[in-house]
Amino acid sequence: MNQATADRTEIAVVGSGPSGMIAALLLSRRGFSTVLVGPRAKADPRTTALLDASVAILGDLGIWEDIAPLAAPLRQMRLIDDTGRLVRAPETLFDSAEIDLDAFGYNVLNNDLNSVLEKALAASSVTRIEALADAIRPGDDGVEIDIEGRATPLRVQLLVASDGRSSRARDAAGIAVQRWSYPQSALVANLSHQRPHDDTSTEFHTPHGPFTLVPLKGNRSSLVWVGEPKEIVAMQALDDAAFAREVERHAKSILGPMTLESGRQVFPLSGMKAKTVAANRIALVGETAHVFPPIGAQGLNLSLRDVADLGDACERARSNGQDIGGGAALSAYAAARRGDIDTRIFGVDTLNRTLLADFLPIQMVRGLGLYLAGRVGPLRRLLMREGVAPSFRGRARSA
Amino acid sequence: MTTKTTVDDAEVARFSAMADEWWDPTGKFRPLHKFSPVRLGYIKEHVSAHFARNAEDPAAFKGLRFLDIGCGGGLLCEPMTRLGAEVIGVDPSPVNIEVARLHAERSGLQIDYRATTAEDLAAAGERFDVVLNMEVVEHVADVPVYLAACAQLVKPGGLMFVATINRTLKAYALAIVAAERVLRWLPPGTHSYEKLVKPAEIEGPLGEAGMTIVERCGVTYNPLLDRWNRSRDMDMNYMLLAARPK
Repeated sequence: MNQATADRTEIAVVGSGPSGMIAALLLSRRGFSTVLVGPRAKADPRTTALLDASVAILGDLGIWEDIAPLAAPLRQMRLIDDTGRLVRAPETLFDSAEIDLDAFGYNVLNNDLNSVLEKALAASSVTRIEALADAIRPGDDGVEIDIEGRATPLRVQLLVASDGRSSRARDAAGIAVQRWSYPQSALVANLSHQRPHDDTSTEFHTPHGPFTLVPLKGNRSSLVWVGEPKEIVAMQALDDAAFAREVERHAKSILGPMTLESGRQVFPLSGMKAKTVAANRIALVGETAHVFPPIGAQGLNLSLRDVADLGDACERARSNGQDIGGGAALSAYAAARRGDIDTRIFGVDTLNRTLLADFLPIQMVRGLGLYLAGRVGPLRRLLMREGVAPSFRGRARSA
Repeated sequence: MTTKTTVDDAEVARFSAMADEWWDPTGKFRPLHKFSPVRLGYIKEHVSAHFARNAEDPAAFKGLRFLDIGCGGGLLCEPMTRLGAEVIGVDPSPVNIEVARLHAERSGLQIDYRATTAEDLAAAGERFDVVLNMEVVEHVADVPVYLAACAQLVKPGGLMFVATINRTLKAYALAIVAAERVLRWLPPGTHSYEKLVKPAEIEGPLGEAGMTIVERCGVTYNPLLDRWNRSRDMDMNYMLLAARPK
């Protein structure tokens, strides 16, 4: 390190949600002096299914062992066509043992995940600034960040933006986004039920979107219900008991009678993609770079792969004596992410749109696809592996 | 050596724009940027091994004196400086030197840039631990004379890296026809076939100048990944490493 940078913080992670916290942990673990800027995470009743590749990343950080006891394994995924249409897909079951995995992933409450991450941060060498970033000024040799309540700006070589879908840091980088919306809303809630889920997540494909129950610890599941805004709003208006009965009815009582555990949350379904994931010493990770419907457990998992690839790009730049916030490092990061992000957005978008389609040939293609996935072993296994982690990633990583 | 006595703002603005151009990984010098990781990785690995440095150390090259011949905008000088080396960058073009200086200043790096030639440095008695001779030999008028001067610049126990393009039909097809005329990665006329250099034409003069060849490798382009990799195929781009015995 030269005299100009020796006394300077190398990286600031702006935005302290799960992606931001994991980014700060990973980058400081790789030896970069790192500051995390942002208030502590608020209570979040949602859940996250951490897939195999994410478990590996958290394992490398030494925090998986703290998450595992709080997480429910997903050993089987069942897809049931409940569209009531002329051409329906047969019930399809994916079993993790078929691709030699103990589980596809592990479902954990975001509150639990956040408290493990907070604890890990406290024990790490990350400097925590629990305040909001104000103005952000990227320059030739560094980024200046004004922080609320601080007289002097923070100066860093690289800013990692994890401040969410309306990111200020992304605006400061001059990165444009593309947004789209779906004619659907999503409702999430956690419920307990009488019958065990047998570590199986069940996804009912309805004409208005998927209705998915994902196992939690014990006889509990998290619900992600995607449907017509009208229907979803009506569900939100019901009292707790009536709502639980509706969920049981939609789930064909496979888990028996249900009880609502934590508050229902509703949000409109939308998508967003940043035109690039890095520019002007600012690298985007997580929902700052991509937002898509909560289908197929892709969101935070994709964010974790952003973080891992960013860590690799920074490490390689440092090893070669290159500026970690410079054009070479950022374009290496952008190149590493392009394929993965596009594939996930396309996949989730396509699955969702085929459910909405009233056009018979599309229903047939979807039905045939799921039929083949159910019957043809190699295809099924390929789909499962691609769902858990993209295969091209291994190649793209080796420099 | 250009010592500017009067500062012309328009000139500074022009150099500044050119520095941005040199350092834009998607711009005019994109091929060089694409090439950087493989070159830097090669240098890092061999310098660390030769001088018994820990490659993990962020200041692995501390205390080593480097010369980068034909430094251009400073694409190699800056990384070497960041790794702790004391670097002198030379380029016959005063414009390039001005651009490189400006960028180093903006990066907060101390680099000694001089508009001079390898021959003049050798005559002045300058000596270095590591001489970088990357993508230069295919542009010089007299390769043996040039290499003899470069060899003099290497201290006993020091290293010289040479990277260039082979004079083969394959190189002609890929480096000239494809890169300049079809893909337009480089301006037409950047390379001329007769001036391309075969490995033996480098190893010969260096051997006569008392240096031994330590290692050689090819560099090939993978169009699917848009990335350059080291390989055993030296028919096109290649790199050589020579050492002066202690």
